Amino acid sequence: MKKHERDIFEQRRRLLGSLGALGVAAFAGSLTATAAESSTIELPFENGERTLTSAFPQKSDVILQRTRPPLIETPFDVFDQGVFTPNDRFYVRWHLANIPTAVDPATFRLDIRGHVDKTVSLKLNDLLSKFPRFEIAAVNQCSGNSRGFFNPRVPGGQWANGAMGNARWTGVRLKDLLEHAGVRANAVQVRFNGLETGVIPQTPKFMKSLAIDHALDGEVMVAYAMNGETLPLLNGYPLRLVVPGWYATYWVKMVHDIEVLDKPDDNFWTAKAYLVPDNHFANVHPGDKGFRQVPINTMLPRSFFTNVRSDATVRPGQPMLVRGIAFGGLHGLQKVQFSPDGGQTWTEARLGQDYGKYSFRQWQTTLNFPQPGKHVLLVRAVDTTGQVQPDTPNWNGAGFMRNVIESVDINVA
Amino acid sequence: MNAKLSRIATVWAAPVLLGAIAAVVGSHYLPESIAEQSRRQAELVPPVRFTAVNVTLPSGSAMFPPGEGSEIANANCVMCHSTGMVLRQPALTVDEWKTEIMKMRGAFGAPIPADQVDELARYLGVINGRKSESGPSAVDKQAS
Repeated sequence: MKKHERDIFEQRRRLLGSLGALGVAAFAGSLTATAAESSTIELPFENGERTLTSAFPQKSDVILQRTRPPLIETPFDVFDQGVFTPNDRFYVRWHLANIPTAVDPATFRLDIRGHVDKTVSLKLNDLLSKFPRFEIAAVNQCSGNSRGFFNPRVPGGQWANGAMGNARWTGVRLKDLLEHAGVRANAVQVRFNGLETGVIPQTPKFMKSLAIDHALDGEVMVAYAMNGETLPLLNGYPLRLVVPGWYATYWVKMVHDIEVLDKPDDNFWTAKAYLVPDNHFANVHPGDKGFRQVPINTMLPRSFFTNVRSDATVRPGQPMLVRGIAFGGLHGLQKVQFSPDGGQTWTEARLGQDYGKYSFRQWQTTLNFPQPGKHVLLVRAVDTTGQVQPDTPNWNGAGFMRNVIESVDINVA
Repeated sequence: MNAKLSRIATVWAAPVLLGAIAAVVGSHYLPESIAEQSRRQAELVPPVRFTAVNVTLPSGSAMFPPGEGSEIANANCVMCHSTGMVLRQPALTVDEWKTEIMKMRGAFGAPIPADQVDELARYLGVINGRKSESGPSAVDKQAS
């Protein structure tokens, strides 16, 4: 056990006896929710009742958002259990319903073609044996994570905050693969094609592209393992693209075809879908028209409470451990700030072990309210460039890039 | 004084130097550390083994709730996505549902006949609708 983790556990033990009512309020819901098969969970917005399901292969106790193509959400209590999201609880988001249900590693090939010196077709074992191994801890977050909290509401997958996860990704650098094939001087973008297709031929194939310099940055990678195991099929077995610091729409699952382009990609999913208002927090007013839009790209900092929920009750004078997770998005996390009084004062929270700039990091603080009353707790992440989460929510019609400061109301009584 | 200092330095430095040389030479002959061995071993052993995977996904073929226009929804929507996607949306006005239908036709090729669009929108407004007066429309035409 690492030192930071030990510190946290020791603190937890010391406080356990006095957690009392808070513990019951915070944990009882999640424990009873996961105890029964096909129980339901109430996401905190209108029409938010969802089933907890274990009907999907290699997945257990996850929130059913859509059966086909699968949209499944990670229950939020999972994020309290550690900074790495277990593979069987990791959220899933597919666009098109024709998803291969069988993958044979003997015949699977990863093709690299287009504006390269030589077209290559790699076996899975080639990736293991012929290229240096690369590993990175990184948050994978859906562009529309938290869409259900948009006000006014917008259509799309009605996620709470669990359309995200953090994993150790193991694989090979995209740079090494592209250099193996030899990128020609006229390359502009690289396009990634997964095995999913639409049910009818009119539906555009799901493909995403990255600028050539980004593709060659030495961090974008093709992952064959997630938290030390092969990927669950629904997370992209056998290979998925990992684009640290960028929204998950670029992390193409079941990637089997990499095409180097000599002009910008004009395919539907890159050029026309996943566009956001061209301003810092992707923020416009409902009804606004004519604003410039750009393809969604890098992630913003976020932080969350994981062990306390709104309407929890705590006794006056009882020490209370509050903790959660945070991440910096494109840039690393500099610090996490906590406010026990609705934003009047902020203090720095203690941070857990650092697994790298793209990973979740645990934060925690201890509170003690001597007097009864209601309190609003806030938490905000600050990235290494000094960028802070905003105190008012952004809004756009697609429901993308929410990163407002999270709050929890508690009663001291 | 200087001579004395250099004598002290020689007396102390000589064994240190000898020791360093012995360590460098010795490390070539002595067995490597356990940590080093396991690191080299980890590099040789593949981190994962790929196996044939064959799974069954839930069919998601449930039909829409009965009602006027449900046959249009069953004939044109369920082929690409299960009903839950529609039923779990926030309540939308008939006009907003129409925007969604046109998006499905335009961007994804849903084969909904033009003369059935209004009836389908009315049906969706019945099963998951809100009145137009209850707030501004937040539905845009972007497909994603």
